[in-house]
Amino acid sequence: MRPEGDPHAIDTLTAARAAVFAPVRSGGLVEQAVRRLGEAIGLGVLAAGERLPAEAELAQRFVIAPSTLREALTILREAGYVTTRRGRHGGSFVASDLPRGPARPDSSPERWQSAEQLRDFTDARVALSGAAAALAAELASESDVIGLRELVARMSGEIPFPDYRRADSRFHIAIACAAGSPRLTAAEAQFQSEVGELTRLLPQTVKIHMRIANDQHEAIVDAIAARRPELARELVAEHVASTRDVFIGLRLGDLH
Amino acid sequence: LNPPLPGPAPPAHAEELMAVARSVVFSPVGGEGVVEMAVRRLGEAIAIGLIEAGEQLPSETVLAERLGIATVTLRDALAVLAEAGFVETRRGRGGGTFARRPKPTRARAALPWTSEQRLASAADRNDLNVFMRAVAGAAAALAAERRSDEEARDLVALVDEIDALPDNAAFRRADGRFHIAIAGVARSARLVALEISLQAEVHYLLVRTPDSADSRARANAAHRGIALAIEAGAAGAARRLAEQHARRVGAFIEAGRTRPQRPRQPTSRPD
Repeated sequence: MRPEGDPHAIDTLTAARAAVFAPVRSGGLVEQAVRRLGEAIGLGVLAAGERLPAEAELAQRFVIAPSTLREALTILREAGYVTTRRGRHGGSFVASDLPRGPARPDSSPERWQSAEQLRDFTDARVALSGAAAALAAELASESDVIGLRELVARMSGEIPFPDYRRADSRFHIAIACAAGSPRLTAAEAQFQSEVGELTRLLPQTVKIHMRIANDQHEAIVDAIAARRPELARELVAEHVASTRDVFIGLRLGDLH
Repeated sequence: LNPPLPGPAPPAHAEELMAVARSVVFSPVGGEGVVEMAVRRLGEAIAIGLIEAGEQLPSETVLAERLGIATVTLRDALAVLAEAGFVETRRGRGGGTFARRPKPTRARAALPWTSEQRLASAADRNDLNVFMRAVAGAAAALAAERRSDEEARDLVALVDEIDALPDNAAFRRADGRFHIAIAGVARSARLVALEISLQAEVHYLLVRTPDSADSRARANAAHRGIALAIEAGAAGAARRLAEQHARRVGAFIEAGRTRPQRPRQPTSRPD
């Protein structure tokens, strides 16, 4: 970002050039496969107990060597995310009891040390999740809306926080799916995994916030069902901003 | 538009909803290694003129450190970029690595993200456009809220400069920079990074769609509208105009693909 208060530092491309030379994402193929599957499991895109595609097929779809995939599955198995059964009807399954804690090997709380990083994250979410909600309000099918209402109902029950979080992330990813956009869906999955990272940094789970947040979820579905794109976008922006404020509020002492 | 959709909640719809998400989960991982990511980052920036032709890159040690990669990895990336015509290395005093303007055909052959397959289907290109509208619209709205007076004047001045550019190639590069500059004024590092990637993708899609003085004038009139809305602090208008512009760029790309044999347009400037 541009330095404040220096009238000579005005160059509209300063931020852009900083982005060009920022670190590139690193990590080998094994870690990337672990991350992809671990995120999908942690976010509830892949359901507990669900059978994964056969190793050969999965390796082919990921475009990695079967040996690379097997290493990734070993890591996920050791972490308790995946179980493997032998014999007929065997294969790899998403564990039915998921462990708590980060699935991502590169989970990095250091990334959330400043309010500035939270602001940047929030801006991007408002942009892309807001656009997804607006588009969903135009394109969602009846069954999409029913699915979203199911998730809201699940979140309104007395459920443990990890279950709430999974339903929450599925809810947001489902909106991007209803918008029919693979790119927005991939962006939302990434956001949700970052929200998970942030959530784990909170000192305690916040029941009252869960209730407020889920009221916001319900209003978002209502706007989508009523075919009101601009309202849906605004409600998502409010929802995202209130999540940011809870994080800043609860971690104010840590942020600088 | 379909009618409003209230309803009770029979189970399993939530599962169906995940169809798109699941297709994303099972798409290729690590199509990009670290070398490819570095190639992409620098190649995109050079392609859209964020790093100008003739500009010297930081030294290998400095660049490797800033990109967070090993020096050997950076050298591999620079070798790929040199092969594709994006950089050249000069030896001796005053030597170093310099950006070059690549020939589109050569760049496309060498760099995976410019490949035709990635955006081969109309659905893929439509999704690109959906994403572009989201990023450009939000960046313009935030820029309208956050711009300093000086930045607002800079953006309008940039539009004036673009009007005076002599050729299509210069126009295209300035066009990309204009959109990235808006994300910068929005003070959003994430939107800047997204806009750079989007502009690079659009850059290569547009290689098949020759500009005319007419299409350039229309595009820059749209830029002017966006810049003026940002200057006026009108976030809603800035978003709308940016989305509209992105939609027209998408239509322009599609028109170029459905009529590939279209004759070059006259180069006279309209009204």
